[in-house]
Amino acid sequence: MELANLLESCRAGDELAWEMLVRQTQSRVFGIAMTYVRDRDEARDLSQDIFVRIYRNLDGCKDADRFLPWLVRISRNACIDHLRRRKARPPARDIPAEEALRLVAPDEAPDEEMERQARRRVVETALHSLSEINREIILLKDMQGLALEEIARLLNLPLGTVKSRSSRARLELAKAVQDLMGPAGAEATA
Amino acid sequence: MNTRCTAWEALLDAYLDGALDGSDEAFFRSHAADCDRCRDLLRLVSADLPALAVEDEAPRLADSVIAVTSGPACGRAEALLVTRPDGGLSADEALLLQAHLEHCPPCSDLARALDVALTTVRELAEPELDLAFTYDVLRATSATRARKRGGALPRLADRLGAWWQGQAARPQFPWEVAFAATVVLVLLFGTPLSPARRAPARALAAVQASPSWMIDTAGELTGVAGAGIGAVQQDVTERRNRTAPDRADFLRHVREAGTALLNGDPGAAAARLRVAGGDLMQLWRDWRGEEPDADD
Repeated sequence: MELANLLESCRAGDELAWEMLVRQTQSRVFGIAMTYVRDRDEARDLSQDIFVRIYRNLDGCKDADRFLPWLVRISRNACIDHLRRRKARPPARDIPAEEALRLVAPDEAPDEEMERQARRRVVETALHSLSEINREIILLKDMQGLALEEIARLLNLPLGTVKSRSSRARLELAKAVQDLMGPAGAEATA
Repeated sequence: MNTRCTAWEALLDAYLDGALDGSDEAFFRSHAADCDRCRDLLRLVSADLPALAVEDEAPRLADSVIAVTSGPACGRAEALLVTRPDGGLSADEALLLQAHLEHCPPCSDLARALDVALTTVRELAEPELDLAFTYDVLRATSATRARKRGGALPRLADRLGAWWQGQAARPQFPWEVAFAATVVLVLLFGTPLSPARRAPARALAAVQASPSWMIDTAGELTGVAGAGIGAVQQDVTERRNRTAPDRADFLRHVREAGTALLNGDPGAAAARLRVAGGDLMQLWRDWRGEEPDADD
């Protein structure tokens, strides 16, 4: 089903269309939430809030071509609001980085799965060692695949700044990964 | 001349015939590079020495030339490296970068780290989720739909609720509530003009004068309330009957969760527990006698 038709049906109140849209976008929304909060359960609750916002504001997205940037914008705003609230009332316990991802892939061999998990933990830790703006640019560009122009609009920054920031963010991320893994680790996982 | 030179000379014929194995050849080449006498000897008997010298010296020569001319090219290589994933390099730039990476171990390591980082970041973009996630989202949004259809008043209530949650989340909120409560109590009982200023003193005096007063008052209240107890009991019975299927669903799902847990399937157990949570919500709605949504 075309995205434009799907959105139109969702706006008209078709529950099945909404369910399909949720299934198509839930991983992406959850991924964004994970980038901000790093705790799976918290990200899960946050994702639900994001979907409620999306549902309430579906009328605001008229153009299907602009759906992805719109989705990312809503998700990002919800995550920032959530972090503000959390800053006002911090969680009862610190969240260790190692708990950040507990993803399952039962089809993979245990060694490969462990290696994949270790790699993900390293990259996630490296991602969170970046400055906030660099992390957001990695999130928007390399994770969500938004165009630079869209990122500039979203972050309210000049296009040139976003371009240079993007290069710097990637370099910073690569160096952080290199520091965490060491050259041998990078070579082994490359 | 020492024992290494003697050993080296013993390998010379085999070297010229190309018959040395790996370790002997490594020793032969390294000694030839280090020992002037043996190198001269090799130059006399073969034409291979220039090639050996060039092979060993070329990288160092290039490094020293770069150091005294343009300086290291790693900065430029890094700039191209981070542009490469977007396909933003010309063919020449890609070639130059590749040549640099082949000779610069730090940049080569950095390139590998960048590949790992970007590949993994794309994987992190869409993590795998269990089936209960969609169910939870649909449940949350269906509640929103019910309120959305309810009109402006419920939406206003939602906004007020959200505003209140925001207020309550602030760290100073308990202090503010305590302050406000103190002000209210002082205004009610503590100022000369307050209407209830004598109430605490009167209550205390009444209790002191006749301790049985409280017991009598409680008895009167119980008598009044007793008339309504029958109606309350009937209401409770109706509610219990109304929620019986919900309770059964809830218990069944909890039992299923327990079974899944015993079978070593925590994912399924979690999913069933979530469903049980939904049953509880439904039980609460039925207990309160809320009308179900026509579309649910």
